[in-house]
Amino acid sequence: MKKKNKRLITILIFMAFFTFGCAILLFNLRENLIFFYSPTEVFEKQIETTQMIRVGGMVKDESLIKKIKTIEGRQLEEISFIITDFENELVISYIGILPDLFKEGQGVVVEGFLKNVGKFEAKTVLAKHDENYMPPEIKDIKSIKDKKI
Amino acid sequence: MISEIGFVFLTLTLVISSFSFAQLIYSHVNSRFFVLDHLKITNLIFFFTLSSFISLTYSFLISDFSLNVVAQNSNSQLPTIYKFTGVWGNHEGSILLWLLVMTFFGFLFSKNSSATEEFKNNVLKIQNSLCFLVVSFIIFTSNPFEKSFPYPIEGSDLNPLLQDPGLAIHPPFLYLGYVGFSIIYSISVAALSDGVKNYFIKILKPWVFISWIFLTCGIGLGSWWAYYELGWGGFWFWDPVENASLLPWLTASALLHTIVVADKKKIFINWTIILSILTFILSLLGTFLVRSGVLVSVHAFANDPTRGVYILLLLASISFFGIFKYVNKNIQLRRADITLISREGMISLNNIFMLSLTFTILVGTIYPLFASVLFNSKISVGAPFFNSILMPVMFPFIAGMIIGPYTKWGKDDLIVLLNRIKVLILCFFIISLLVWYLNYKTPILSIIFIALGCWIIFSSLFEVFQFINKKLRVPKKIFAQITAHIGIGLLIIGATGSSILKQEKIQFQEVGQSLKIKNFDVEFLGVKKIEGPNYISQMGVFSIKKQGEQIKILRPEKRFYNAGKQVTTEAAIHSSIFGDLYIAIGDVHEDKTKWTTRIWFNPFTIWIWIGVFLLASGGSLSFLNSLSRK
Repeated sequence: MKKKNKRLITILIFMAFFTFGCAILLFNLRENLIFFYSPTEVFEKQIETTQMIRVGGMVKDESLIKKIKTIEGRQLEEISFIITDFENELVISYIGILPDLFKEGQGVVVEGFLKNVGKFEAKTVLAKHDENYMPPEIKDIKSIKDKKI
Repeated sequence: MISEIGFVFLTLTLVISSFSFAQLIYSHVNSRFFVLDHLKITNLIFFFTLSSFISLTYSFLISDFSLNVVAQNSNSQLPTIYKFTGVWGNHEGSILLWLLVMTFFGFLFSKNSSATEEFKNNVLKIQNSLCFLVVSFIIFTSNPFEKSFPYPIEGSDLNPLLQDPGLAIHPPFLYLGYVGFSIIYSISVAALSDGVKNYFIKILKPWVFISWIFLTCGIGLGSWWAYYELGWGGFWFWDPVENASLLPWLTASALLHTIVVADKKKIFINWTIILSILTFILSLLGTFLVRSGVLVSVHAFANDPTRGVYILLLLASISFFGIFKYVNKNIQLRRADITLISREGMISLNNIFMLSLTFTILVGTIYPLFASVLFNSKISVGAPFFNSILMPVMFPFIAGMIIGPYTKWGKDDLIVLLNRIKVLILCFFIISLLVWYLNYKTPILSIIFIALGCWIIFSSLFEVFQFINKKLRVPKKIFAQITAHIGIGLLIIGATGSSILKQEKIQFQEVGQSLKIKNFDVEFLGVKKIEGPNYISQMGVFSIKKQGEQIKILRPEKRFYNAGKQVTTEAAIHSSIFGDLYIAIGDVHEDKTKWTTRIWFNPFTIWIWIGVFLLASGGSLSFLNSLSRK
């Protein structure tokens, strides 16, 4: 009986820890999810400007503009381009070096914050290892799919 | 011609390995009618796969563009070394390499003398069946010998990112690790139906070490490559594909600790088997995630959904078989009573943490997959999730790592234990103060982790000191453990430095302009045009000065590859023990006098690579040790 009790307690303690761990895990997970939207969804949904999101679509042809911006006495290159799902467009601004496989007319995914309507400040432009690759997220955007077919 | 022969060999592998598979499935049928020597099958399929692989390699070397894979992943301009590594720089070839490694491990095992013939036969039956599944996957979904008609005169190019020595050796190492776990799976499952006699632990042990060493090196090399080639200034991005390789590594590390106890104390036998099976399942899961393209990852390869389905089936059947065998095992194991404050207890603790980590990372990695299926929402789990989960787990983990080696086997007492390491605890205070004094301006988190890293290193060195103090030689086993633990300590310091303490400057830099970062002056001297064998490069020239004295010239490049019309960034790095100065060059401004430059100072990054090296060395010492004791 005593031995059984001891075992029961061990199991209970273990379960308690496990539940506690899972709770922390799920809480953390919810806090750190990054949602993906197409430009159309960005306009349709109310998105907080404090929430980090990903947006993807095709880079519009001839939309890439590079400007010089001075921040804290240093000259920086501000890159801006338009991504589109052929229904809506979103202006992306980004400071940094674009990934090597970035090209106009190709798919791209950016991560960052929505500033005001139609303007998006990218913290990261996600690079891909393979030029023939199209992120599944972009491939699944309905309007882009329709256009391709 | 050669390629046809390669395909014939591949088909022969399929046919011959199917015998093993058939016998595995129909094992309940009286086997007198169907007596097979699985050792011979193993030898045959190894040589057939090797021949097949050699013929594919040959096709790559002579640029035989009648083959699809060669036409798509190679080019006649390509330097010979990259023609060679191009063999596994694509899906089809890399899966063939996977098969080659798998049959190779079987072959090595068949030459292993310590097991009985009967046991060997049972193990190889399973190993050959695994090979059968993989070879059928190759032939039916990703045949490297597929012809293209009409075939092109010139191939497109090998992805320029892969044209790099670091990446050339990364996949073979990773595969030797991943696939090495297949033999561990086979041994464990065979042991289950064999009635688990303790000797199987001795047979299993060297394979665990060797696979773990290769996986460690594979992950380390991949990370190193990402660091200097991608020009992002980081070494780990919590990308799904990276996580996928970390999962089996974690369970294998748990296995590494458990198997030592299993060997010495004949307990945890059950647990060893579970971990072995789990590790291989996770390796397969990793392959599935990488090859099916279900997850959004930077390691995106052009994918094919049917392959994903096939690997998923493979994964399911192999997992099911392992679990089925485990449930139907014919053994009775004695229960072990373990107290927490003992070597066994500490190793259990290590396992609990390792598995919690595995579970957490697994959830974070595949959650987006579930979300997209269940709620149809597209999400990804960001790096902050992994960092926030990893950090709290690190504290008890490191504590266990420090105390563990000082505990006694069987039963130990906390007071006696603390008394034994009181000098060490005192040293910890001094180290912490020292670290704080040297870095008090930096974020508190970095101070804590660097101090913890130092604690691990110091407590490991203290172990050596204790042996020397008693005028004893450090036993080989302990020496291996110490080496690996110091590696972990360095890894923690390096990772902390290059993540939390990283400094970054990005700007337009005019020719002749000098910038200050940390205590370096980085002067931009201009850009040269360089012509490589199959690319044109714009090479920035930077003079690095320290207190007015030039210490090095750094030359980051932006390369334009002719064949694929692709651009790659080659970062230039100046490494020292205090940190790396890391420069990447971007585009030129319209007025042709300014260039975008990105300059990082990544403190202690070099210790990451040294840490990985020490981990692998520790593993190798254990491996040699487990061989010599037989």
